[in-house]
Amino acid sequence: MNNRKGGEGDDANFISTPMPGKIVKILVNEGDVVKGGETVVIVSAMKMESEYKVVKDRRIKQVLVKEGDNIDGDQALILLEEIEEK
Amino acid sequence: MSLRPKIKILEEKHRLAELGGGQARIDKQHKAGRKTARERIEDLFDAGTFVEIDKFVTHRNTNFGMEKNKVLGDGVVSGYGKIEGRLIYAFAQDFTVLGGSLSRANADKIVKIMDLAMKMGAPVIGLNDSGGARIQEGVESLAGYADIFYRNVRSSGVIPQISAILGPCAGGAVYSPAITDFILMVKNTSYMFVTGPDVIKTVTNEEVTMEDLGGAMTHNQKSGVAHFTADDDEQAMMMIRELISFLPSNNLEDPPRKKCIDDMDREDLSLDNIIPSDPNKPYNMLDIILPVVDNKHFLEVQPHFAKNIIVGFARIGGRSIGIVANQPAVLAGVLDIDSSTKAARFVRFCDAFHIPIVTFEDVPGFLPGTAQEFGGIIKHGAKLLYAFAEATVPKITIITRKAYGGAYDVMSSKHIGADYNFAYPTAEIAVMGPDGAVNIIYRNKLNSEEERKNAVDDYRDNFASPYKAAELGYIDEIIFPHNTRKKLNQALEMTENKSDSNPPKKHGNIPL
Repeated sequence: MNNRKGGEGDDANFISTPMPGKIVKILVNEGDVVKGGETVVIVSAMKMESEYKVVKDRRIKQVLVKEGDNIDGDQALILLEEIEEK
Repeated sequence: MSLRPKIKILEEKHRLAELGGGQARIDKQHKAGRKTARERIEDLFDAGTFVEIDKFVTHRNTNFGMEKNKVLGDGVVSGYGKIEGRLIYAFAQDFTVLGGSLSRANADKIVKIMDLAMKMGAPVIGLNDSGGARIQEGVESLAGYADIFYRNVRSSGVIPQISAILGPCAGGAVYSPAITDFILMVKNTSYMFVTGPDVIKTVTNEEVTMEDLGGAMTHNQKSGVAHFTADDDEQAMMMIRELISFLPSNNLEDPPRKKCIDDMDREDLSLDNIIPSDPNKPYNMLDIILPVVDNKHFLEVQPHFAKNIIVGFARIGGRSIGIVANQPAVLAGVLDIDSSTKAARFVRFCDAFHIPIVTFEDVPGFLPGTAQEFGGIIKHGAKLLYAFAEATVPKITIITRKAYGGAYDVMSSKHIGADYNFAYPTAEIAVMGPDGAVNIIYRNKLNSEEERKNAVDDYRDNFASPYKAAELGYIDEIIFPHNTRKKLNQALEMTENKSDSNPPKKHGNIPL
């Protein structure tokens, strides 16, 4: 992974996986508001179903994949947007 | 005639030397959330044990009016003292004196204690806080750097060398810490880079802040250059003291053994339930490591970088051990470029300093993909294989779950010299996972999904278990997870007097 982007505290605006794999389950719908640390998608890769979580509170802007899809490494899976202050 | 005036002169010289660059600059340093060189030294050593050497050294430069700008000590505090009663050498650059810049004279002070440390066999701790070379001195300053680099390299593997970055550290100055064994950085006040943001902007038009380019989190998380982060200078000194407690003073000594008050036969029934019954579900390897080691105390090294592998120091029965563990909770625990190099360097450090290596293994294999192959996973993965095979310290391995393919060989297997190999009953040791294996073995022979499922189950029962390997003697013992602590202690005790060495050679040729 020569570009290991993101990590704790980083503002990622999309969820991706560093490994190619297969979407097992998508736990959110477009427009949902999720809390930091919540799992949004489960991806099977390297004999493991890994959970991918959002770092901070976010709104789901767009889900780009569906369950059962094969995905590439570093492909955007779910777009996130910041929750606007009201 | 009284001696009083002569004593007065000495007192005055001490006062001046301790004032460094003056009260105004000291205040400025404090305002920036940083301590002075002498305050850091106070925190680092056992109270009252530090002895300063070369306190009255001054530079001899006469260019650019420098002869009028002399400070006793010339911007570095160096000497020796004790940490938990053991001899340790240290130097601390004083940012209040000409920005802590490195002169010929202050490089000579550092060189002097490095030479002493090598002769006496004691660790060197460098507290870096320097603007870089003293430009007025030109090539003499560069020579000073090189003299330090040369000694860093000569000392590598002989005495432990630890660097704390407590301010800016730029250009050539970064290479001395880079050669040392561990780098600690303080959040928000320390920076390391070869070329700073201004130069980058001029040359490539790329805009980047100091913090993003070379701050503590950048090097602890992205580049993997640094090993530890501290919140402030004081915590940084405490972390170095803790790290030193695990290490021997030199390569001829064994690490200090602490008194162990934690029951050696302590069983932990929670360990029987940590590994999920579904092999596709992740778990946190730290949940296995912590209950097993003395007092659940584990000093993790590089906890933010390549988190799919865990490395760090702990004790079992009071003995220092180095732990290398795959982390199934991150990237399924795969071996990739970063995790291989991270673990390889750690294994070589442990081997150089007689620290036994305990490996917890749950690895699905090497990460496939073009990014990894183009990045040279072959040579980087080979580093870990090389490091484990080359290490002659006691090596003990526990396979908790997956041990697949080449990664099984690499992770301190029996075949590359491990002394004792355990497996949990949940271990799956095979060339590849059941699904993949069935697809190849029964290519075009399975007609229904049910047949396929049966074949997978059959494979899992017969091959993805520790019993095939145990039949062949590749696994010495299959243990109950709740017994892990006791079993590790027995194995460490059994291997305590291990004597093994590599064939005589100038040095090996690890794939770099």
